Amino acid sequence: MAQEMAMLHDIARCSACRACMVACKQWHDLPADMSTPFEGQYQSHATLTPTTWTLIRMTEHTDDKGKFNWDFVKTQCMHCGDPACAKGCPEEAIDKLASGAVVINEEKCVGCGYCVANCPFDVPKINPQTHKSTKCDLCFDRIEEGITPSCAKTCTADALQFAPYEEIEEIARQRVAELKAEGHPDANVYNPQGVGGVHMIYVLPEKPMVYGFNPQSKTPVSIDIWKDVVRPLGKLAGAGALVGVLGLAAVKGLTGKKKQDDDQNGKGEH
Amino acid sequence: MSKSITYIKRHKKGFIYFHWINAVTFFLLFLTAMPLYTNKFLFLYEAFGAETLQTMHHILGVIFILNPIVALLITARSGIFTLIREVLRFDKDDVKFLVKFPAELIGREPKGMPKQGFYNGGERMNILLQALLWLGFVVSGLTLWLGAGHISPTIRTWMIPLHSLCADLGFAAAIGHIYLAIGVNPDSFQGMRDGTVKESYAKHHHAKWVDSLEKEGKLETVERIVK
Amino acid sequence: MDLSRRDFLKATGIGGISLALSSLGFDLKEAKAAAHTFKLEGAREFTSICHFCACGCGVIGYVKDGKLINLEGSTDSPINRGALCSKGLGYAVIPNSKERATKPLYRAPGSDHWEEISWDEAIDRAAKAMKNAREKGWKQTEEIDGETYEVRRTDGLSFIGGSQINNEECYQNIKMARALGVVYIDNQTRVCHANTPPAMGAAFGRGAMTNPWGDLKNTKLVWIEGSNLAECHPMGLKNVMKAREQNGTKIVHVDVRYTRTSKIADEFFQLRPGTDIAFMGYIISQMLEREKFNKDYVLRNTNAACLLRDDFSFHDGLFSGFDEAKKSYTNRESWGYALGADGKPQKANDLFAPNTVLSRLKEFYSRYTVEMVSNVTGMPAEEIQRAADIWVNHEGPAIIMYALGMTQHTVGVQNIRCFTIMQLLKGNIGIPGGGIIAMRGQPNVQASTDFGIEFNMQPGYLVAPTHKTNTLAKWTDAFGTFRRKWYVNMTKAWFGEHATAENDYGFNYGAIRNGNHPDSIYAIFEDAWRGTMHALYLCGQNPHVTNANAGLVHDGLCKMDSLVVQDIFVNETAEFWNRPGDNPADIQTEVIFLPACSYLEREGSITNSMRLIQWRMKGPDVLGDSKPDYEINDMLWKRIRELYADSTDKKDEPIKFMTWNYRKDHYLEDIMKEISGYDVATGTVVNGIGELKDNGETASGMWIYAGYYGREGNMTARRGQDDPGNIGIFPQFGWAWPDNIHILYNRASCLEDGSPADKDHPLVWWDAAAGKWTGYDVPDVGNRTAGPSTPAGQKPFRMNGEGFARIYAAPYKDKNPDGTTRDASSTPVDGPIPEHYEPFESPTHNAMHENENAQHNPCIKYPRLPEKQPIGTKDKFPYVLCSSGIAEHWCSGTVTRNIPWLNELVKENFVEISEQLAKKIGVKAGDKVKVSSARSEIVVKAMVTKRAQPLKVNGEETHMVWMPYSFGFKGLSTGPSTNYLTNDALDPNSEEQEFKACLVNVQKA
Ligand SMILES: Nc1nc2c(c(=O)[nH]1)N[C@H]1C(S)=C(S)[C@@H](COP(=O)(O)OP(=O)(O)OC[C@H]3O[C@@H](n4cnc5c(=O)[nH]c(N)nc54)[C@H](O)[C@@H]3O)O[C@H]1N2
Ligand SMILES: Nc1nc2c(c(=O)[nH]1)N[C@H]1C(S)=C(S)[C@@H](COP(=O)(O)OP(=O)(O)OC[C@H]3O[C@@H](n4cnc5c(=O)[nH]c(N)nc54)[C@H](O)[C@@H]3O)O[C@H]1N2
Ligand code: HEM
Ligand code: HEM
Ligand code: SF4
Ligand code: SF4
Ligand code: SF4
Ligand code: SF4
Ligand code: SF4
Ligand SMILES: [Mo]
Repeated sequence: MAQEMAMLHDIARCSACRACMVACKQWHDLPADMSTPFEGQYQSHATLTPTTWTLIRMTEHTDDKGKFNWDFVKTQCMHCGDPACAKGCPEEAIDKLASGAVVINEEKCVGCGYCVANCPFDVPKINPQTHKSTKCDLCFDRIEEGITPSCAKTCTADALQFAPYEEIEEIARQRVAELKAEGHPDANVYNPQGVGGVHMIYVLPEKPMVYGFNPQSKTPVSIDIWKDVVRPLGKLAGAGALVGVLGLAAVKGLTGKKKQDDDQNGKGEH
Repeated sequence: MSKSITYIKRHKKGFIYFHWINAVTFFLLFLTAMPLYTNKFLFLYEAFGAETLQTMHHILGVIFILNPIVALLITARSGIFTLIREVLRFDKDDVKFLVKFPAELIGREPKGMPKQGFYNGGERMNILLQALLWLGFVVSGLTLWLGAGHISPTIRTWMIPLHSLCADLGFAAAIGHIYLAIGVNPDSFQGMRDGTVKESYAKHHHAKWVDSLEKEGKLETVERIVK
Repeated sequence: MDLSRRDFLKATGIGGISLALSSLGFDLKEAKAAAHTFKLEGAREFTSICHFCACGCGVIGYVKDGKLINLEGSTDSPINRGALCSKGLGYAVIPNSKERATKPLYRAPGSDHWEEISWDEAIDRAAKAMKNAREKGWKQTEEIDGETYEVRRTDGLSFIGGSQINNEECYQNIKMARALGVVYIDNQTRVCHANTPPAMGAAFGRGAMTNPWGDLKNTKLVWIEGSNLAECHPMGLKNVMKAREQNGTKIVHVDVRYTRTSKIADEFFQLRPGTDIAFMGYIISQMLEREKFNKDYVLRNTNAACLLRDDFSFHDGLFSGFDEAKKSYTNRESWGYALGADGKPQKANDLFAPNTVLSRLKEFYSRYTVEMVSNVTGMPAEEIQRAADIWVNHEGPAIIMYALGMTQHTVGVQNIRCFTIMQLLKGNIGIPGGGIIAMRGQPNVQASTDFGIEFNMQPGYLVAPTHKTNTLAKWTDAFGTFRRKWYVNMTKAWFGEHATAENDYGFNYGAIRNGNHPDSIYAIFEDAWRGTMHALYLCGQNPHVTNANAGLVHDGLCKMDSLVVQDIFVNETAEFWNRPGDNPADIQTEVIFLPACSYLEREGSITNSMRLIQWRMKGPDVLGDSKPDYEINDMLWKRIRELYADSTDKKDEPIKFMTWNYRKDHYLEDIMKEISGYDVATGTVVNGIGELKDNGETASGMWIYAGYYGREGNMTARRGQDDPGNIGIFPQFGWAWPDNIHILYNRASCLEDGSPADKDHPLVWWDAAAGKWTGYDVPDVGNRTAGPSTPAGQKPFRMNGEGFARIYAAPYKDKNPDGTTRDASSTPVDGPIPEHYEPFESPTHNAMHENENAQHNPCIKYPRLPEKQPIGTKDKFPYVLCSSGIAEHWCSGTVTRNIPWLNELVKENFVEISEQLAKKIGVKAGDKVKVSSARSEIVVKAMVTKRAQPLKVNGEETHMVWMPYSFGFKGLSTGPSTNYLTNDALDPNSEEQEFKACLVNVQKA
């Protein structure tokens, strides 16, 4: 069995150097995306894009103590333990690998956008050129070769770490303890269980909401309804209707003679 | 030998177009989306390309949305009003009809059928269902298509099952409807071709309607020589 | 260089988790079977050194079919351990960039376009243009201060650049320039760190960063002042993070703006640009007042207890000896020591006895009260106190990290002098986890400075001769016999058999500068404007974007005959004649463009900020017809020499005699051997400085690199991973000058008897049994067998004349027994103790002095060219502009603005302003604003942010705005250049400009 891995983003350490963003593009040969114009902000893109699989969000906030904070959050696929994208993919084009990486299989993907709709973190984007869904693949190809994912390897502030899952969990716990000691009573590990836990874990100095994270994020039940109820029922209904109609026709053909009443009751013959 | 049969004017041209546009787009929408629904239809994507079919699905979706609106506003005002009026008029007789109707399905002639209006109870049910499904399709389809970034993800995730559900019900209903139209009451089919139905058929199936037409003196008939 | 593939993979494999995985039972084979073919399969690996900042990160590249397909950090580099910043990674597009010029180009006078020409034609044109300019500006003699001197130089040809090319290429360039009699020669160091060597040199004897990156992990307090570490030296940050992880190290950031560095720091203190001396003056006063300094260290290793002359004075902001008319301290004697009968400084028993260095300092800084400093800096008094307490009360090693926030001021040298005082008082120089991390900027600015691509220096920090030092004897009297030896080795390397004892080893083949005239990068364009500078050879620099008051660069270029540009891109300087809005027909300058290939396409060695020299392997094929710089240099020099082949003129002898014997197939190796040094008779290379002789038996192009290509071969290509003592030194990885010493002045970590002062953290020590100095690092002792009881074994700061460090920079010459100068210590020209003066353009009056002569640095001579150098005043230009680098772009942006991945991160030029100022001028984020100075105006978008905050300065609300400077009119992303606004008043020590403070106005556009 392959080892389950995880990546950690330590928000308190990130310097927003954005090397991770370039590393991702470099490794995956992704082109630049200038779709977000400069309007006086540092953040480069409004959201992830089909060719921007990881984005450092940069926001300013002043905390209760009146202290100014500039927060940097690396967004990318969370590599959920119970990935909505994979669950809801009608083509089974998304695999959850043993390493924890949730990977889109380009060959199978038909670009329907269900993963886009289902992902609780607004991650996948359909690339209009290739008409395939795209997102961070945790550099699964590198992991398989025993190489750290591109972004984590290049991190200039050691804010990103990549290691076996338990190790990362342990590091995260330690860091939170440190942050608490440094005067961040709300420090926490962000690893939402609603999506089956994630393989992209965050260490947050303050409450998740401050950084735009929802602690309640979960794999939508609608997928289960769709998969377990609607679709089987639908298939049943569709097939039922067809079979029913055929059956009826058969019965009718056997029992009833052709109805002729209309003709017979028709207005006079000439 | 030829005989002359009396036909009654039932549907106007505009309404017929509306119906068929609706029917065709419905099926094409269904077909273009089938590969997503079941892998048995993946060959369609392979043959035409996933993107093409999805784009077609969207274009057809636009037609599917606009068709009734155009019909309501311009091309088939009376026909649509009739649909609406008929649905709103659902009454006791319709209930009775629905109870007795199943026998017709296998070609029997149920006894004591109450007189029916322009649309019978079953049709009225069908209209209502189709109208609701239309709404369901429109809302869920548009949200799926254009909702990203505008509509909350939680809502969006629900649109998939909703859309699927609509398709399921719509498909099942359509099958039944077509069977009835072609298999059970081929005479009604005529009405969707040239707008007229045999008087005999009309009197038998929509007596209330024929009665009221006669009372109002609005009965338009056409004589046709049939070989 | 010849690594077997197996070793190579082991050493540099892009590495990561495989070890962890295999030990945890991750079955790689099984996993692999599932996947498609791996991107790197079948590619050839090579290693090199990043082209951007002077961190000097190791990169590993992958080449398929001659093309680069992947670039990342090499895991075995002790500097970056596999990481690279956004720029280092982004460079991956450059070897395949369509924006590169790949053919030689010619722009005829008045033409509006480039023509492609052949290499032959290009080299021929360039050589002739340079020759013509040389002849046109030739000066055989010159009258200076009423006397006629033979000067043998040209004032018509200039050289710029060096920080972007490899060491061996720098060496070629300096040889060319010096042979041609060029004195107008400069490189990026002028606009960057020119203030560092005079400041650090005055304290420690060498001008360089003291401790290596890897040693940062040993520190307990990181004091970052005037550096944007996170953005400009990302791998410095990575190493600092290690310290924090291991030791819970505190990170303090003192800056004029809240940057990404402030974000990762534990403490942030904001002050007004150009007021650090006031701030640090208070900290120093507190250390002395509260006697919180390392007495033992200070007594052992510094001049703290030395007695000074009593005729020294400081009044009204001026030290004794000031000549108002000349705006300079013409008499600096009173700043000196009260020498003993032996001519040596005398130490008092009591550190605070009258006239000791420390008592003078204490008195001097007692004027720096917290209220005064708050008024000056704009930092609230409580904050100043809190910052001072952190520094003063800190126990354990601390480092100071700085760069341009300190250097780019008209008081730059004195800014840095404050650091040297703070660290010497703390006893933090020469120990692990200590030192002053003077972070060089450009990838090879350290070496282009080492190699003397500077008007005022020869290779190895040997002062370039001026009219006052125009013979070897006079030169030796000024700088000492110690340095004469190196000079002689250099000229021997240069002039070979023509350098003999009789002709002072060729000293007189060299040009003589006019010591009253700084021939800096600023003078080049000023003199071009005046009409006396006719041609410029520009190799990898872009002054049209990066010089202060850049409009003057443009106007100067317009008046030159020729411009030769050797670059990987056609940058703004090369295409200045095509500046939007100008008419090319009006510009008669011819331009020859020589396309160089990128660093990945060629080999050579390069020196990072910590003086570590590392080897670059050749990666992908060269793009198009571009060529390695060393090849271009070679062609150019050979053509120039041809043009002079028939000359019998004595003035052309240096050209004909200059050695240039590099075999085609061992080209770089031969250059390296020449730089490193060899025995003239046998040709055997030397292994270190110790083997050099002063009698012409050895030749060494640059003494400080002696041994970098030793008898074991190319030391710079070593990739050894051993780290004895776990200090982070990695002595077998590359090679550090001098003599592979990593922590400079490490002798200071020992007691007099040669044992480590901190027994728990030994670094070097005297091994009595073996009779030599030894340790984890190479001991910084001249003669390693000279025991601690001998004079040579007792010089913790052996590069200073005194042999110890200088808290106070007294002028001093150390004599040999025969009365000749052995070595001389340098003193800043603007005072022996740092004093606060206002920036040249300032929004306020100098709160410390009423004297108008002391408003700003009294020694500044400005304007030098009044019609081109207008001065802004507060009434019209009420805000302070600070300009600097930004994480995602590099300097002029020539390279990075051609990297789409970086353009998407930072798309255009902008001005960062506070919410308060935005409100005041009625703009919001994204609005266009006009930023204007006395020199020019430009329009950019506003970034409005809480990060920027106004300060209360002398009771008045004062706004600072900030702009990056990396934009110009060429490349994939263009924008107006910030430097049209900046001001070119210069620090009098070093001719470095004040990029960090000038006056502007900001209005809604
Ligand atoms: N990404 C990137 N990296 C670079 C470069 C680049 O252009 N881009 N350039 C390279 C080069 S050539 C160099 S020299 C280095 C420069 O590296 P740095 O010196 O770190 O860069 P700067 O941002 O110019 O200046 C450092 C800091 O000094 C602050 N500062 C300005 N004035 C003052 C002052 O009076 N007092 C104090 N305390 N702080 C002040 C600025 O706000 C800034 O945060 O970076 C190198 N690395
Ligand atoms: N306002 C303001 N201005 C500043 C500063 C500031 O802080 N504020 N900082 C200053 C500092 S510190 C510096 S160092 C300067 C930097 O100023 P520059 O050195 O002028 O800027 P670069 O962009 O580094 O220019 C390097 C040039 O070398 C070329 N090049 C790259 N590789 C090679 C190569 O292999 N061979 C050759 N021949 N050429 C090559 C590039 O294409 C580019 O044209 O800017 C200074 N200007
Ligand atoms: C209102 C017009 C409609 C719109 C805008 C619309 C839009 C969509 C969209 C966006 C999808 C997702 C995949 C894709 O992009 O192709 C989809 C899927 C689908 N659509 Fe529609 N649609 C419409 C009407 C219909 C109709 C009338 C049918 C017919 C029954 C239909 C059947 C389906 C089916 C079966 C799926 C796949 C559902 C699944 O996988 O569970 N749609 N539609
Ligand atoms: C081959 C396919 C179809 C045939 C032969 C057919 C035939 C007919 C006929 C004959 C009528 C007229 C009944 C009357 O006059 O009383 C009718 C009406 C109608 N059809 Fe269809 N139809 C078809 C497909 C569809 C589809 C796909 C839909 C909707 C999705 C649809 C929706 C309706 C509705 C709402 C009415 C009016 C109410 C009703 O008569 O049930 N039809 N159709
Ligand atoms: S590379 Fe590391 S420090 Fe830089 S932005 Fe990414 S996570 Fe933050
Ligand atoms: S974050 Fe979204 S895309 Fe990523 S695994 Fe979870 S559901 Fe899928
Ligand atoms: S877009 Fe592709 S990956 Fe996403 S759900 Fe559809 S088929 Fe699956
Ligand atoms: S793990 Fe790989 S794919 Fe994901 S963001 Fe990092 S570099 Fe990109
Ligand atoms: S720019 Fe500096 S920190 Fe970035 S990769 Fe290059 S050398 Fe390293
Ligand atoms: Mo620099």
